[in-house]
Amino acid sequence: MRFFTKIIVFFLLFLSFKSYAGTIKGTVTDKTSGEPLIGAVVLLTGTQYGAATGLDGSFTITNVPAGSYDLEIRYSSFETYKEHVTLTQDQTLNMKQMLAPSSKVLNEVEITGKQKDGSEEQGRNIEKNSMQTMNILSAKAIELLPDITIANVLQRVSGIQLQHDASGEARYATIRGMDRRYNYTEVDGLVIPSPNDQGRYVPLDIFPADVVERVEVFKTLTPDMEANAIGGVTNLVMKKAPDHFVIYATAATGYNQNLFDEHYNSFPKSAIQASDPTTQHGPTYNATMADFPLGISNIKPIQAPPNSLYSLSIGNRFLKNKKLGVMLSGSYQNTFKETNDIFFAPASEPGVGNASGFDDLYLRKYSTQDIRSAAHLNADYRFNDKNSITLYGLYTQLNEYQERQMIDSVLTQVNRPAPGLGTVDYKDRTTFTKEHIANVMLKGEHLVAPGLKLDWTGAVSQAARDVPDYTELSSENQFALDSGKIKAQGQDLKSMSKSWERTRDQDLEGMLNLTYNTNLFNQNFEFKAGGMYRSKTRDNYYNEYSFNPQNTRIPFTSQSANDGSNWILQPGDGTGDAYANGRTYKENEDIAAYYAMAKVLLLDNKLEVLGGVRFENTMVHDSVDLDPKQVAAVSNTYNYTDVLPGLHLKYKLSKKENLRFSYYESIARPQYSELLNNHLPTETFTQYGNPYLNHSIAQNLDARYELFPKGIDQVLIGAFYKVIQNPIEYRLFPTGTSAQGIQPYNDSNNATNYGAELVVTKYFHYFGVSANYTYTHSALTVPEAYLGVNPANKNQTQPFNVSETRPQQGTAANIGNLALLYKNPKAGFNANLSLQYTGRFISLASQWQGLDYWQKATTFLDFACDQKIMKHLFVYLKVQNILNSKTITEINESNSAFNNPANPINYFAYQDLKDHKILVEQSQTGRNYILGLRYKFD
Amino acid sequence: MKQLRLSLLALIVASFALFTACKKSKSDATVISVKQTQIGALLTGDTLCGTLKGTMVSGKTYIMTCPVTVNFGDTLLMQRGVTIDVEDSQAYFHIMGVFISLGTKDSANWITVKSISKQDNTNTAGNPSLDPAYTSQKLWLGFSCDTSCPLCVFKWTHLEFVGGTWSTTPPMSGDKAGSTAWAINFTNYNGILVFEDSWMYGGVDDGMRPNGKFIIQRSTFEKEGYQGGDCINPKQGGVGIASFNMFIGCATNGTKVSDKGTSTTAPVAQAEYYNNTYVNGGYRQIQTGRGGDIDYEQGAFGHCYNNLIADCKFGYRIVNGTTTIADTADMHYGYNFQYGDADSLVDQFYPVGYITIPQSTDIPTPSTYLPTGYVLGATYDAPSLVGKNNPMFASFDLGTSANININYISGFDFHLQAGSPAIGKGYTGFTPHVPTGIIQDPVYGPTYITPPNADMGCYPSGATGTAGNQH
Repeated sequence: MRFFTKIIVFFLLFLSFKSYAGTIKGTVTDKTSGEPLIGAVVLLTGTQYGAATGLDGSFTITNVPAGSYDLEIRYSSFETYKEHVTLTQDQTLNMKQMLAPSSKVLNEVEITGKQKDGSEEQGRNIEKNSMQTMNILSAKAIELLPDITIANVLQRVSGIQLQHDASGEARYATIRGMDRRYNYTEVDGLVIPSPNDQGRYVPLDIFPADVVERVEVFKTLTPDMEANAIGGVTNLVMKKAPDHFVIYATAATGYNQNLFDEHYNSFPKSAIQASDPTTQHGPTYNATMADFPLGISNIKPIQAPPNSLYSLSIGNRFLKNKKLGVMLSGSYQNTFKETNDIFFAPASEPGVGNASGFDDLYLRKYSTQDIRSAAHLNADYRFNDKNSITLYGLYTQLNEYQERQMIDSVLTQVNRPAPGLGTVDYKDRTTFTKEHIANVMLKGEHLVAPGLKLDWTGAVSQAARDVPDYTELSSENQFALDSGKIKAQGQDLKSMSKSWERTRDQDLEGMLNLTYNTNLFNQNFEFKAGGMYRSKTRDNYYNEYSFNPQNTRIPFTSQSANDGSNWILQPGDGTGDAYANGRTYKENEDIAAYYAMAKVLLLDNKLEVLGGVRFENTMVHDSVDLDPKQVAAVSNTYNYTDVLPGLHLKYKLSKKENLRFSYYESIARPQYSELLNNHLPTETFTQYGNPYLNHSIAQNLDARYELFPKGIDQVLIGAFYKVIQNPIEYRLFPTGTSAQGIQPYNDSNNATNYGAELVVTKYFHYFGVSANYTYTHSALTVPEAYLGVNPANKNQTQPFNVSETRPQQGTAANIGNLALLYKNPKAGFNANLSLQYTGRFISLASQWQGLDYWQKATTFLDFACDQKIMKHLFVYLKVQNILNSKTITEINESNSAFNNPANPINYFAYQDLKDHKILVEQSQTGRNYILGLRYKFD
Repeated sequence: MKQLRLSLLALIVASFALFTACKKSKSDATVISVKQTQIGALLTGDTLCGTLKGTMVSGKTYIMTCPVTVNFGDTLLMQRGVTIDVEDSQAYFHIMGVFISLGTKDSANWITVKSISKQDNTNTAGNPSLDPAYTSQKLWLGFSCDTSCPLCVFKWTHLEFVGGTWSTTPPMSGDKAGSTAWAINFTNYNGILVFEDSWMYGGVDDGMRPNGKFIIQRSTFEKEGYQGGDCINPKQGGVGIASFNMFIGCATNGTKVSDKGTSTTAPVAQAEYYNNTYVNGGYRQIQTGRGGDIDYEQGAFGHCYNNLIADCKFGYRIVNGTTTIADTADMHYGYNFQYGDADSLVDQFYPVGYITIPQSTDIPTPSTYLPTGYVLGATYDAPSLVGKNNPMFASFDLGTSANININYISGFDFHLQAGSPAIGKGYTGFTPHVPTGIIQDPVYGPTYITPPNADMGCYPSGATGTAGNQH
């Protein structure tokens, strides 16, 4: 009641005394950088009047009665500003106040004290001053996003789209339409190994969003960067030691909407068999059923398990002069989700006229539990202002438990005589995947002589992945005619397979750079030269066992499936196939690179020119455990050197405007397993290697106009042009006679990608709008096949060679993001509504003309907000996928052949939307809710 | 001296006695031994392993201990009466050159696994998981005839117990590690495969994929396929004849053909399936509707006449479907004889859901049991056909569905007794397409291409020699 009265009184005052009150308006900026300070507190001491600065550094205090006041501006790590002001009736006082960094911050750390590490302002400044075209998301921005992994975060960056895996998890980034293979990931400037069993791409969802200080995305490469990127580079800059004691902690819980609607399927973790009989007893050991305890396929439904997410970061500086800085972060996330997926498996060959046909319909449900944990330590020691070293350690782990249920209904007419008749397979799969990345890095920076800087890095990294006891259990039911009626013949055990896989990837790396600044011919020159060497050893072990039921008709129950006496090992399978399947492989990759570059400031320091060249030698040796006398391409060596020039220009049109131009050449190496003569099952298709793959080489042209009007506002307009020689794509092709596989191959023609990019960020006091849009035109001409009529016999069909021009696989023509921000420091309330749009793109190429798989355009809407509830404590809410968007894959043909009631044998469920294209896959993960508390002391 | 004389005399008397004895039991024709065919050098040693060429010597047994490669330009030949005992479950023949096995009626060749003992009884027939023909750990990997293989000939040869799991990547595309081996995977569409008067026994998946020019005649196929698999299953590039063969207890079809494949140069699959006998086919295939004897799919075509089908799960099938329809315009069929011992079998003489056009020449005559206005592939009910038109096998009990699990031939005789309704009802007015380049030859080709016979099935009554199946 008193509160209510207060409001009435307030309004009365506002109405009646409005004309007798004054207003104080202004902006608060950083004295050293001129950047606006967000959330600075402006107070009239001894009164209730006050405000906090908004996103553009502005503040307004209204209805201040005329009089004299002591005005105070406070901002953490900055000196408090005090001023005596006098306000007369109806006066609007305009103030522009600059704050200086707090003097208690020591010289050495002043560099970091200017702007808070992880702030938006810092990010914007790096963008502006860098020689490369780049985009940055700061920790501050990330905190406000609805995202919990770095992969989620990245899709907010201009020109980036995310590739999702079967369970709907965003894992890998596509930068400017360039597939994940054309990009690499760094942690603090160092390329890290991947736990992936096939490739070099690092799963970005292994990093919790809250361990990074900022995410940098480089879209052009300078000669001092590794050349293995045509699209771009993601650099995760981990949290660094702050200048004073800080502590951040969060605790949250949440739910996946789908788990309210359906059960989550769990399997007994205790039944996971850690290692296979070959590993336990040696390669000649002949296993029996007694070696397989089973029990893992005992699926239990759980009702809506809650998610839990925690993080903790502590940092401080110690010793005399605060020479030692330490930042420790840890994160733990335990999340559950359920994904529903519909997939039409294509017939290996189309009908005449390339008419689509399907072999199977899969209805899949994934229950996934992800436990992500990460710890990282960043300790730096500053001997003096000329020498410092940093020790960095990272350990991040993802344990994923996944149960997949699949109903596989046969569609091909060969064994589906009529609707309702035929075979239905049930394939239950349990998977436990344990991945980790560990990295220890020692870095030093030394000013060895005036103008001469030396920096070095030594690092050991290991990535590992274990997939023990991957079990797929099949049972089958037949729907056959019995006295004219359709009758199920009973669901019987059909087959079971178990596999064990281990991937170990270890890098030893050293890097050295020398930078020399000097004045020549009255121009300011910077010379930089250096080199790096990385030796990678990679080991993969894979072993598989197949089982048949003891009898042809054993009814499926969860008991019978887990009873070893119902199964026999497939003939000849007792020793497993670890040393014969081609998936047990070894690979060494040694990369040696050196470069030289020079930077000069010309035209009154307005034009910065950077030119240089990089030499990168790649030496790969791989071998699979197959007999080279019997099988080709099982022990291969690749050795190539690329000479990669680069020229980067930056012209300062004004203090707030830059014009950039870049030309550089770069490469993309094939993934490790792609070079092996083997094949491995993936979620839908079997994937084959190709030992004859060449690495891709690209010429890249880039231009960008940048405007930084004020504060953290920005306008970026860019354009790029890339010609890629030997692009690598995956193609569907028939394997044998009735199955299809996918295989990487070099397109015989160059791919040409060009496009434009626009980024606009604008803040109005408490509101902000951030929008970006990327258009990419991609074209590639490829040979394909068309099934036509045989000219010699009109009754027969014959494949013809044709060619098709289409976008490169994975390249969406249109990508856009729109974010609305609200930040009210006074009320302690922040909110972020983000919309992410990805236009249609080819997700898988077909060797048949017109039958490529296109992923339809997707729009995802996410929301996050937080509210301060007391000093240092915030409550926050995140909602992902508000629109409950689905990911849909189609073939670019009308689906009318599959929903014509006159042709019931071809009338398929899920294809019945009229005037639609042929559905291939539809995947739905549903909304995610997270509610948590954040504690922040700094 | 006297003793020596006596001994000599005794020897002369004994020799004379022996000579007259011989003369008594044999005809008085002169027999002059013929040098057997030999190519290259004779193989020395008793084991087969690694790269080989030359001739395996008549009468010998060779132990195969690892994969064998026959390079392009080389030939590996088996004289008559040779046994190969495969004692490595990962062994296979990789034929890039020529392979010839010249067994004879009196002295057949064997390519088998001696340590597996055959189980031909009703117990294993009722529970195939107990039958080593499907589940032995010793099943091996068969013949991989590569795209360069010009010729592969099997005459009077037993090819047994193939069906191991490839644990390595197989030498040729079309098959992969982890999959089950076929007895013969023939991949050269310009090459020739001859399989005549021979036997195939046991196996887990398909018996053969003859994706080249093939002549498969007068042979016997038993127990092919564990839970699926066809005995003869050509795809794109497969053009030839399979006739006068006896199929018993196949998991799915005896003969199937489909033009699956994406080559722009390989010929369309064309199969002439006539005068075969199919008994008890299609029961171990756990998927419904897939067939039990003859199947034409996806662009394939050919002549299909005079086949005798008894107690197979489904009748002969022509497949429809957008991507799977056979070349129906070029199909020629009729005069096929079907017999069933259960309502569920006779109601599938024209399999439900497919487009086999009932032919008035078929036995039983379709018009006597199909409803008027019958639509292709529709269900029908014809209980009166159960047990009708017993083909009168010489020694095998029809008239009861109790025997439909029998998947072996030993102890039975499927010749037709006099008076069989299958005698003389066939059609001989067509000329089977013989692939170009095939010439009859005692070594390098089919001995004789047996033309169609008016007696249905593979055992024409009164046929002698190569006029029918001689087993």
